[in-house]
Amino acid sequence: MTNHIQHLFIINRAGSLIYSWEARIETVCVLKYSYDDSIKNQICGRETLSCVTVRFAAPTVSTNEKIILSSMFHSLFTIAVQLSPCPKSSGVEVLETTQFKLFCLQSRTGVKFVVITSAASNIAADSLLSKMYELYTDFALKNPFYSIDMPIRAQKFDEAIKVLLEKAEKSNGAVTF
Amino acid sequence: MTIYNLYIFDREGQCLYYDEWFRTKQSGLAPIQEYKLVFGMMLSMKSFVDRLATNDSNQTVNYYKTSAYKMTFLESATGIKIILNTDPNATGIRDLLHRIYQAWAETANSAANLEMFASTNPPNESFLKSRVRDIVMKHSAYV
Repeated sequence: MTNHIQHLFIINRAGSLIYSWEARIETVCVLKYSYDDSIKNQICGRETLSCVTVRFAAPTVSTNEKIILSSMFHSLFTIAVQLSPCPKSSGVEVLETTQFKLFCLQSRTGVKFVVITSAASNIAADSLLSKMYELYTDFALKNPFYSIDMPIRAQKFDEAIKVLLEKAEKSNGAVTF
Repeated sequence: MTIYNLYIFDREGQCLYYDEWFRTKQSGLAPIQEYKLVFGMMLSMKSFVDRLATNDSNQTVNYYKTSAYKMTFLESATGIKIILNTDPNATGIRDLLHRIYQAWAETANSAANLEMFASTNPPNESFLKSRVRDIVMKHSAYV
């Protein structure tokens, strides 16, 4: 199964990151070699081992970098409004490069929901984003211990997001979840 | 569908060409400041997408879209950057940008001097303007 959703960010109205999620896509590769291979002993030093498992994954983005990316996106979003050639434009809603697509939904209160998918995906990002907004109001805003504009740390929210993303991956291309 | 405006920058960020058609809102900045802002945004967008890249192959920004317009980017191998604002639903814009680049390259070369890389004097401006206008106005997205 291929995973299309790579990143998910929630950015507060001041441009700082309050929630992030990152897909861990691993490709496992097993390298086999025969017993008479001379490098065998150099690699593992054991006679019985005849294969090596290698895991490949996309480079991960560090938390620090995610915070930088969020504030960068926040300013790009604002500049896009200013540079609009026609009145009443929103900020960046879709950004497409040769490697990925980024979708953004800004709520009335200025909270931004950002999803990054692979360039080949045709996930219905609009409904995914509004569903995320719904989860945010349900699990963060309704939580009496949550203070606004602060990072979201709630297990229920993590679980709900996980379920939503699984659903979104499965119904790749469908209109609603 | 509409085509709003067009910017052409050289690799140093100097705006070599600007034209607009149905632009209904100005940015509220002096033209020079606006060109700087467009170029600066493009550069930071590039660094933004580079940080998010999942593999080492070369990555370019195709476009971004808001509720009211779409900004499409094209960068040539020589570092000339062409930026076009259109209606979000306009199609065939990449093709249009390639044709504008072609017109640009031909006009610059027909000037038969290599001054085109000296960013201060855009080659044969009025001739280029008429060619670019001709290309843009013939496009299906221009209404």
